[in-house]
Amino acid sequence: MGKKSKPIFVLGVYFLISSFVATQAQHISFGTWAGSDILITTGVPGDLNFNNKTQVINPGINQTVTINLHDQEAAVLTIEGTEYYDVTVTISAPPTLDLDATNKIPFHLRFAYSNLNPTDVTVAKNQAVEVPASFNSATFPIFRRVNGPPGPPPTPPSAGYVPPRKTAWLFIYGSVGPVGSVDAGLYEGTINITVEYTKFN
Amino acid sequence: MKKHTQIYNKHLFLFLGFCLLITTTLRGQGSISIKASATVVEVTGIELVPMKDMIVDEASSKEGILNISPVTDDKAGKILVRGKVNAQVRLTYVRDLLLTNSAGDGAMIFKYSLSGLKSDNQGASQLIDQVERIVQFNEKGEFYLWLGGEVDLSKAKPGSYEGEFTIDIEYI
Repeated sequence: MGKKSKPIFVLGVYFLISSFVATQAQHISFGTWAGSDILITTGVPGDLNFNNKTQVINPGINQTVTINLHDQEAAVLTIEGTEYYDVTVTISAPPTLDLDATNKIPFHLRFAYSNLNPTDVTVAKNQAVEVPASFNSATFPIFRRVNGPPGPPPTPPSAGYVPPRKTAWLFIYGSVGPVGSVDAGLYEGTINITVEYTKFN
Repeated sequence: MKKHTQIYNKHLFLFLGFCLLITTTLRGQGSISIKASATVVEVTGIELVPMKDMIVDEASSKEGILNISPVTDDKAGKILVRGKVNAQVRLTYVRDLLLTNSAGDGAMIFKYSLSGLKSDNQGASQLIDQVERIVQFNEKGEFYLWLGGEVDLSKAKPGSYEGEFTIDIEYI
């Protein structure tokens, strides 16, 4: 009886360990060894011009102009890099668009990314993931596989080997307003976008 | 001597570690800046922008009567009115217009019909069947008008007929 129960106990421990092993996630930070090969390019439109959405923006009536992701006025950027790396996009934008020190209009920025290797801007927008409002950073793979098991680890960089590259899309949009009682003129702000390979260590 | 070597090695290690830190921070990074802009304008006047002329084609007439619907006919003219955002305006127009034959004798009456809407959607536009009507600009400060009409060509003498459509728009 004692001899018979020992193999069952060992088998039980083995399955227990197996189940623990199966639930553990591995996170290998390939980005730590990435080269400086990220290429960011502006598309069309390359800037966020709210007059392209609403031609006449008036002061004094609390007008708000919103450019949404699927509007053709949303700014378009592409990020090209090594396909098996994750990237972290960090965006800094001013809270207001300014004419001068006293004339300011509230500005709320939104952004979205598309990383299924889309063929054009329409497909990219339909597949885009909108980052929740008030977030200024997002981490995602340059190329997200739709399904299937994970592939083998990437080939390490070496002389004469060029790793495969893919392009992810980035869309910048948002709203300006309420305009309030401000002077007429051109209100501007600069949006800085930084993209780097993600390092988890 | 041995102690001195250990301190030297420690400093070298720290220095190399610092260099490595700098290198990993700078590698694999790109940045770009784009502009966000909005031009605010104080609109006080009203602007009429003809976008499409009305097409008067005799071949489309039935039993001598030519009728162009401003709501359903693609031969209707189109005018964009621009002004203050969300402002209300009074719109008046002369419905009956005398067209004169520039080549000789003869005249005929053209009865205008007008439809309008805040958005660029002719099929949904509403007939402005009174000679005076109050309408409102949309959130972009725009209002669209479509122009049609009816004319009896059966008794018209050959020639070229000309006339002008007049519309008055004022803030209320």
